[in-house]
Amino acid sequence: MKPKKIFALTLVMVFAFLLIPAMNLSASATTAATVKRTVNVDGFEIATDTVTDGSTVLVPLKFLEEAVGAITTYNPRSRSISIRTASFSFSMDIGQRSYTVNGQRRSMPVAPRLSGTVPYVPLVTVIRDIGGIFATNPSTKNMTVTYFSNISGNVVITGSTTLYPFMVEAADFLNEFNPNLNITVAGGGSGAGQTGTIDGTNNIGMSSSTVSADRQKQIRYIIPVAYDAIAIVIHPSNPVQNLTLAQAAAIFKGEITNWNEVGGNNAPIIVHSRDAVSGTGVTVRELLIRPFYGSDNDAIVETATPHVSNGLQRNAVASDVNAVGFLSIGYVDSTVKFVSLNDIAPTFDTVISGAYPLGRNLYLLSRSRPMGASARIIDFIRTNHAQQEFIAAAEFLTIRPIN
Amino acid sequence: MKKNSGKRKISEKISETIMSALAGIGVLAILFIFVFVFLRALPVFKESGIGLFISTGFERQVVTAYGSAEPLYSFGLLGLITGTLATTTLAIVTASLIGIGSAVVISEFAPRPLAYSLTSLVRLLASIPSVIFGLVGVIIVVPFISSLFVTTELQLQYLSRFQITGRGLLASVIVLTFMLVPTVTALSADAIAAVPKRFKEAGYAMGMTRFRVILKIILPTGRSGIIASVILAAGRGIGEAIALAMVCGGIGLVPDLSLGFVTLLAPVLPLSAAIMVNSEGAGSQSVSAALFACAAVLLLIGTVLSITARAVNSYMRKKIGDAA
Repeated sequence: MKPKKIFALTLVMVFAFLLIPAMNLSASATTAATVKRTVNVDGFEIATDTVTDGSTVLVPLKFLEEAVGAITTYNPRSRSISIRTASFSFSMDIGQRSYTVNGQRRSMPVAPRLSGTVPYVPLVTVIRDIGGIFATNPSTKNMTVTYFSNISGNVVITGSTTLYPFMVEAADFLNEFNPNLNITVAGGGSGAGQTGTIDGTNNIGMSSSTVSADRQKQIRYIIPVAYDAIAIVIHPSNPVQNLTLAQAAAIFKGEITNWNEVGGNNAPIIVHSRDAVSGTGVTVRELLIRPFYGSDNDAIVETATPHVSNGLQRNAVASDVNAVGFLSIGYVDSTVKFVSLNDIAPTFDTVISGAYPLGRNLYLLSRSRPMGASARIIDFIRTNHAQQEFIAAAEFLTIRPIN
Repeated sequence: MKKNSGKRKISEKISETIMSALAGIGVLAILFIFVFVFLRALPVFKESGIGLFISTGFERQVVTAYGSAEPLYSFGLLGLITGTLATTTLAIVTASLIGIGSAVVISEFAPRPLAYSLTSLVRLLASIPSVIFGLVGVIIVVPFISSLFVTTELQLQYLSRFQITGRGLLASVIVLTFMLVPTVTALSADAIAAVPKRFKEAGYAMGMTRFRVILKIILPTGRSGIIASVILAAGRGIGEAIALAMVCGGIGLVPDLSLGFVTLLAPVLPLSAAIMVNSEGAGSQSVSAALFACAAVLLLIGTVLSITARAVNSYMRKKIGDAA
């Protein structure tokens, strides 16, 4: 009997020892060790934490935002993940290999998982599903993603002159990168961008003003690609530093007409503005005047001198000591001086945080869910690389903080 | 022989038909433009009626129409029409004086090499794109006007009616004059050069001074060419949009002569500039119709001008005879 008992005990212990690595393995599935690696996305090396399961590399959700411009969300309570590029929306669950793309059910090689609280998803699955090429060099294990250098087609982009400068640069870059891609960018203003999207004269519209609820029926895809703020600018020699929002609204409404009413010299306030249909002008009416005077009475004072561009308006304010005007923040330079509103200066931080009252989104528009080349362009402009090179360089605010 | 001539007749006929067909296309295109513009402007003509020509407030009406959900077709173009007429008339007067004067200098006074280089220079000037004149206007003319005439007191005094910023009728007229002088000069110089030498020599032989030869012989003889140059310049002036849009002040006020000199500092908005400035809003049905109404009125003014000029020319031809 005794040797038998010993035998059984050893058997149990052996089994127990065998189980330990297995338990370890299941533990690593929830808190896997991360490894820093670089992924080459169309020639740009992007460093990221990765988790490897067999031959499948998983990347943090945020990587997809930075590298391919996706919008991602993770709901810790339901443990569900959503990833949206311009053309595709994924819905995944932590620990589940089955997922859906645009409503279609599919299965991936390994399930998404958490490392700490950060969700990781298999890179190859997402890249291939959105139409990109994913490859791993067998010897070096280097990963390459091709998504923005294999685009082909003709794309017409028209609309807001605020977005125009950086969209032209981005389009030039992509055109050079993709021999079979031909992007044409034209201005025309936000209004023209929206109507162009509705009647199909552009593939992508640019708008610096929000799309009215009425038009949202015809423009189904609206995505912000940058933030902008409107600065109230005056001549550098004007002693006024700050205005309350109400004062600023009254100035553009023509109810405050002398600088001495707001702490300045006894001098007339010469109001400069944009043409009737400018996106910047419409935004000033919506964000500044409308809250105080209502939507029926939000027009800028009749005597205001209109200008056809931000640049001309800056020039006008810079050359008149009594002038006041408004500019997209990217256009403010040392020739004019901005005033604080409610003691908040228009800086990148105050705009991003929403503290500065005259902030706005710059949108790209599409009549329906964008496909093909248009979708790639929209994804591209939302990548970290493009945000840094084109949005930040044009002195607009990026959609996410970039280190 | 006979065969040959028959062939030639056929080929002549063919080329004749082609020519007249092409000419027909030209005429049709012009007719089409008129019909198209007036059709597009029709809702505005119907809705505004005579008010289109006698009421003001165009900029505000555009703002309202652009923001309105239902199409609004009531517009008043009086300020724009008077703005067009005031800028063009004043600019034509000054440009004619300067341009015809320079033409006389080029073709009568200047020595050959200088005249030659001046002519090429003037022709070069005539081909400068108007946006460059606009830039010069914004960067040089407007600050110059404001430093000369605009004071804080003056701004305060007129603030409730209009803003004095240096942009306005005077700036528009100066910029437009710059633009029109080369046209007038180049064409008038050609007209003057075409005056037969024997006419002038006859004048000198009769003991006329150089000044009197110019005044009594050269200018009257080259008259139709000079008038043509002025008409062409007027056409360019009426149609000029971008340069004026940059310096006109952008508000369609009817020039108020009772203000005296200050009228020149008040903003104006010529029709063509109004079309350019608001073209961004053409996506809106009513703004688009309003802009076509501006275009239609512009076409009318152009047509009237052209017909008047022809009438004046033929009247003068009858009255003093055609010398050239």
